[in-house]
Amino acid sequence: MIRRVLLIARQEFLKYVSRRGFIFSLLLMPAIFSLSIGVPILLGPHPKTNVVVVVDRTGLYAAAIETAVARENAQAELTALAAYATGHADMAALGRADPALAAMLREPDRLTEIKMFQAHGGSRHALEALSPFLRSHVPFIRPMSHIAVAPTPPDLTQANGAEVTALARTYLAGRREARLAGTPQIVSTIIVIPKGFAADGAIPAQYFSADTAAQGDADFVRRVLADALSLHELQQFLPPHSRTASLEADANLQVIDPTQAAGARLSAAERLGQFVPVGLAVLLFMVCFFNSALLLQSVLEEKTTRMIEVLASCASPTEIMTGKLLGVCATALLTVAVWIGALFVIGSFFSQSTVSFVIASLGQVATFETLPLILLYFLCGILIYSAIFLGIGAVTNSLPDAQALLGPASLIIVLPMLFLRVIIANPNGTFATVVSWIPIYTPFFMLVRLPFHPPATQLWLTALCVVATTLLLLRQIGQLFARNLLSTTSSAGFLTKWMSRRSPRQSP
Amino acid sequence: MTELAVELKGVTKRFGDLNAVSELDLDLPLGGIVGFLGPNGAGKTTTLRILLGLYLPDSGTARIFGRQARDVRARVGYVPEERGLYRRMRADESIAYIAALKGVPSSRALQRARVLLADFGLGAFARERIEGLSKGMAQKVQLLAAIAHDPDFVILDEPFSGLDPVSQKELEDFIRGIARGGKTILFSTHTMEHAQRLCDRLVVLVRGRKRFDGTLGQARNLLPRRALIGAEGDLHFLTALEEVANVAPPAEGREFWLVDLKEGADGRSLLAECFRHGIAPFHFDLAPPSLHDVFMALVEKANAA
Repeated sequence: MIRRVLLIARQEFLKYVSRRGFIFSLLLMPAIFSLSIGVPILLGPHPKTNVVVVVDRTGLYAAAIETAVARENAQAELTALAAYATGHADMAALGRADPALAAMLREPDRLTEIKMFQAHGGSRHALEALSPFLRSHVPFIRPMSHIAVAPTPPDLTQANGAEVTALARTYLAGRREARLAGTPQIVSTIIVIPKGFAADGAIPAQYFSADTAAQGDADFVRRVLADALSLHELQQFLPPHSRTASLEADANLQVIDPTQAAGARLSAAERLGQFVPVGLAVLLFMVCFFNSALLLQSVLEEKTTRMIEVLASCASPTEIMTGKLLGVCATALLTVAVWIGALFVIGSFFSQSTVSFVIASLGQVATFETLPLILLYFLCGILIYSAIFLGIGAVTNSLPDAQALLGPASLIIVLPMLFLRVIIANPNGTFATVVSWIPIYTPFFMLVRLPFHPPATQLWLTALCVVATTLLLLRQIGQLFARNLLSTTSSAGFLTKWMSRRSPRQSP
Repeated sequence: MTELAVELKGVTKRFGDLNAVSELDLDLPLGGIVGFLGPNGAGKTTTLRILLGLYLPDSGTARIFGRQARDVRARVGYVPEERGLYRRMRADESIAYIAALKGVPSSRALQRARVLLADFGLGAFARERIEGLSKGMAQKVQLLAAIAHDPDFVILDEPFSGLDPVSQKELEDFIRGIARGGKTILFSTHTMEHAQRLCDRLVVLVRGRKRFDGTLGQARNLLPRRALIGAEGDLHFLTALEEVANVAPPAEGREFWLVDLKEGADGRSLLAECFRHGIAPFHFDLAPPSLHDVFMALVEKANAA
């Protein structure tokens, strides 16, 4: 029996993978990955540093802008370093040896850590401290500074109101250049802060930009100036000796995962890593849908050519069905392997640190305890969806017949994708919990919820439930398949065929 | 006691209210070609599926080589009515796949397939995909797939369906070649010419019941003979003969009289009687009834009942 099952499985696998449609789809997905990742990089704006010149007639705000720009660049650098460290360094050992650096890398968005990072020499110094803990020799690529403030050229400093506008036009057009670290640079933004610029807004600051559509940079400057104005206003009420004191405060908000060891706080990388299984769920959905459709097509083709009769004269319906399901599972695994492999290869080509980060995040999700569950979700998901499509193939005799059932079936099958956002928004909420108990959706929703540590009882009971449902469904579909294997008429409806699936006169 | 290839006793198979096969008894010994005839819906395919173990009878027993059909799959080969092959598979792989499923070790199956293709003159097409073969050639590949595991009993369901006359002739020779190996071949058809040319024995099924089971000669004896006489003059005087049942004059534009004989009559007296009346026939044909006539008569009788 096993030999026949394996022969059928092998044949099914070879049949699927040699189809032009399969090969096309297998290659199409990596092509889509390449386009979606590569095209924005290749065709989008090339990373460049926006050189900003500040003409500050008040002498009060230029320093604030320079400080904010330096901090913005440091934060981007620290965030990149944190992703790099998560992917390539032994963070546990680093935490024990250098808690300050570990904290910095865990909370790259936190003001205190950014200041610490700046005060300790930025990424150069941090990398030196990190190097003993690196597991690979992949180099860290320092992100390019988004903004740099160049010293104000004398002609701009000396120009009066009308002259500034004319001069700004020549600078922004590239006909004149500012010098940054001794190198001539094309200016992209000129900020003019006139005398009398104050919180009352009577006299506006001017923002000249070569790209006025880049609203983000203008917003950044507006925010920095607003903060500086607030600080300036407040300092008027402070005693003279404390006027230089910073009023900046950092709200230390710990994000704590209660299921982790006491006091374990989630790093930014870990928080981002929680969403990696969403990608797995989408991948599972695509693989299920894609491969189940192949199975349906195959069954209908065999019924049309009466190949199914030849098979049935060689093997029992159970052997045929098992072989077919094994074949489709093998095809699905190949699809997953090729797509994930392609994603990493293409991702590495464009952004190695992102790929390292995803691998590290996957490593955190797929632990010794959760890996069997992830595999179970994939297996049960593929089997459930394949069984549904096999059942449709069994009770119909042609693609037009099957389409009448495929409509409602597809609607039911697509639902998890529609609910995914709601689940991500509140992974352990009532809605997520309830829908996770619907066995045909359990593989998708529990996969998404896995990093958010749903209750262990829920985790294992839903797993048990999905296994039981898969087995029950396979048994029922097996009866339906055996009963309708040789049916070449579609006079009876689906329900009639379903109700009569347990006829005692079918050959075992 | 000689082993029977097929032994059906009182087999009945129903689908809802329809009695597809009723009380069918059938014994087929080893060797020979048996034609399984019947109009559409006679129950031929249902019987074949019972023989293949795809259906279980509702009542009665079906034994193949003395055992349940599903237990002797390896001794049975099957060719369905349509082309039961994967279109994109190569000819040798198609044969090897079915052979392997029937129990031939995978390592030998492909080798066996190629030998068979070469033996039957298809060696050059071994690596062709099925979709690239002509219908006749694909049908031969299908037949080879059915016999690659060396079965003792081969079931052919309408093997000549859709083939041109040349391919039909080639396939007939092909089937005779297989039968010479001592295999029992049961093939269903509603084309009488094939049955007439190929079969040692005929089984006629109408409305699920067996209406005839015997040799071609026995089948022809079911109907009285008919004489076809070409002559100038009125032959109605033949009605006076004891062995004549009816005399029909030539239809308009024809010149042959049709003389139906009574059952068992041999028609020897017809010619003598013509000469006695001074008529010398220019054509005299006392052929036995064709299988087609017998078949039609059986169907009409069954329908009338």
